[in-house]
Amino acid sequence: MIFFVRIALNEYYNQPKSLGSDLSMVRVFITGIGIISSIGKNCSETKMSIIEGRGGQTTTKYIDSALSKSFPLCEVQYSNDELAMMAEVSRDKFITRCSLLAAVAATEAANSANIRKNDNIKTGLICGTTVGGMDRSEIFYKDFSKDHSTGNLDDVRCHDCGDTAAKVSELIGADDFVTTISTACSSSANSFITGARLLNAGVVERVIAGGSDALTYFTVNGFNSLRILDTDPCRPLDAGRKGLNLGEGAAFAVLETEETMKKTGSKPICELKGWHNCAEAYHQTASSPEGNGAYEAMSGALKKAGLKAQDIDYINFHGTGTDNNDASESVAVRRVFGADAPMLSSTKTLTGHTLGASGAIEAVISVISIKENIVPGHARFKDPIESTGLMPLAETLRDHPVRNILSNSFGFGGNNSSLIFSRC
Amino acid sequence: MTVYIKSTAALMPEKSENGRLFVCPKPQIKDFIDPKESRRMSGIIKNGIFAGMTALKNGGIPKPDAIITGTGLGCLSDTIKFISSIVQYNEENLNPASFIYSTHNTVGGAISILTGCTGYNSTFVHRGISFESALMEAFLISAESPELNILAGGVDELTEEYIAITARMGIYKESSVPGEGAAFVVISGSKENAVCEMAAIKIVPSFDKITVENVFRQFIELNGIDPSKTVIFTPFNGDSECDNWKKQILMPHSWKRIVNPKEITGEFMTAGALSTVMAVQTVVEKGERQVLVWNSFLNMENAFILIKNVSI
Repeated sequence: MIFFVRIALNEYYNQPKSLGSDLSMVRVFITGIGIISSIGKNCSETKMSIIEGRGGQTTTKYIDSALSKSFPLCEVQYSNDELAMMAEVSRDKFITRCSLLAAVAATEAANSANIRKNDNIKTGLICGTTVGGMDRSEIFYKDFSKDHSTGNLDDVRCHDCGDTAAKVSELIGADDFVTTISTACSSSANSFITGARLLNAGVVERVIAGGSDALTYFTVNGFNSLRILDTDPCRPLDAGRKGLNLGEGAAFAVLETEETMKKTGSKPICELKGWHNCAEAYHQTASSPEGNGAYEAMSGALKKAGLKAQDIDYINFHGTGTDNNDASESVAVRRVFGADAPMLSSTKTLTGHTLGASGAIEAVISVISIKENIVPGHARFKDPIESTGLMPLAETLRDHPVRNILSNSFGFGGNNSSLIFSRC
Repeated sequence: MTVYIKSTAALMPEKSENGRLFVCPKPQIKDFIDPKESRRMSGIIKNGIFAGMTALKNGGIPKPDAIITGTGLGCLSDTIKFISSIVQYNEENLNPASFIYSTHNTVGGAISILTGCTGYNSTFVHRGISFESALMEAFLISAESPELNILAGGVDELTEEYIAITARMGIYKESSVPGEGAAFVVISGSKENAVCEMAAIKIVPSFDKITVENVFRQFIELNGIDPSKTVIFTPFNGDSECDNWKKQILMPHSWKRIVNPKEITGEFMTAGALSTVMAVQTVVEKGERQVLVWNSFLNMENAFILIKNVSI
């Protein structure tokens, strides 16, 4: 049964102060996408898994953590060697799983936008990640902690978050501007925002924006120490939700302006029409019960896009499955959309929470949705959260064109980002 | 469009007794944060809060409109503390505090909470251009929205493990010395209360000598820089392999003065934040016309920043 609880909307409808959103900007189009996660190694496999509602929660093969027996993890079922073969890169150079996953997704994105090395288009790359090369550093640290003269230095050489972007940019020839963003779970959504800003300023003509994170012993234990891992496949937005499932993956999109597309001949898949990032300034890890940060991010993105709430056809929720995030995000969605919320789901029910990669993974899923006329469903839903009554879409819709998709990503430090992708 | 710097603050490191490290003194932060809250924070977070909040205080800006931070390696001591606890306690009953604080955007998040700043907030983590990426985005936002006050800075910390690992790797060669520090600037498109102009920034994500040399030449031409009237801050860190080719790039010009900031900051990924604050001081206090800051961490990415006097 669907029931709506009326929130005193008026008191919330103060327009947030938005940042630089009044200025006319160049239009930013998506001309290529690439993705790898536990539900597929490319866009077409990802699309099929979404259509079939097939989650990536699995028995793990590669992560070395005792916790993998207690908690479902959404692991990419390829070894590092297999990932290197897929991306046609050398294991000597692409050492961390984070950079290998990124190489696979960025190569698919670059190929789909027909990017050629030395094609005289100034191209930048921005990667979002939370732990970068931690998967190797923790191997190093196990030895090093016993004796500082031990531990294979090659395992810690690529610890820094910038390693992935530096190597991937060289691989695909996107080296006119390269940087890395780390704002916890909104990292790679912010890659798109900074990417759009670089295009607007003319710093580069084309941006490959996205992010990557591998499953690590460090993050699995970190989220377990916070007691927010579900022992079963996660149930975001459900009254009975018990936490999140961690996952891994990478996704990248190619961003071009109209001017650039005239040179490249690229055809737009859709437009990145709106975006907004803000700090909630509430708590280092928790979101406010009123969802102020999420509300401002969504409202700011709508304003930037020049759209009204009712223009949004589908919301890809941050929807982690934690008590705090889903309650806060749901309240914020009710504040923005009122009683008539659009179709919504959390694709983290399938991919798990891929941390720094999640913003980009969900952005690329949004682009796939527009391109393929699908609306992603939400696995395992039973009961709505009583106070907000939001009902996710249970089954993926096919042959269902959508115009505008809102994708949310929220992170530690109160970092809130929303992106809007629109059919063009 | 002109972008200005309204205020700055830096926590400068001091040379250790044996001369092998540049380490920050413990900053006094009780004016900015309740000691109960800061008690569990590691050095880098306190240093970042100190430098960021002091920059705001110096500019008389209680609440910035955006906060953009750069850090090469983030909260290393918390990262190491948490990973050590996982190993020590076999993945059981871990205290989440160091995991929470290990996140790279902790400093930016903490300053947003302390100031109530609900504007744009981002953290760049790209090696030797982490701070420069933050500064560049602040520059671009200022150009879009000149009325905003944007806090941009860089932080990194030294830990015993970092020192041990880099020593084994041998990345600090000859007289190159590891350092740490925190520095912030407030950027704005409004000239009111500006201390200097931030005229240009160019990041070269490359260590190819020819590329760097070409970009350097273009930067000088595009910005009409007269070397004889310009103080240059060099990226020399005491490692001749890193320094020699860069010296050759500077040589054809006769600079008004050559300053090497890394002699007093040591070498680390966000040393450029400290150099930038020193460049502002050089313009404001010594009355220099302009300072060209060239920064580069080891033999990696390069960046050029031009700071100009507004009263000449």
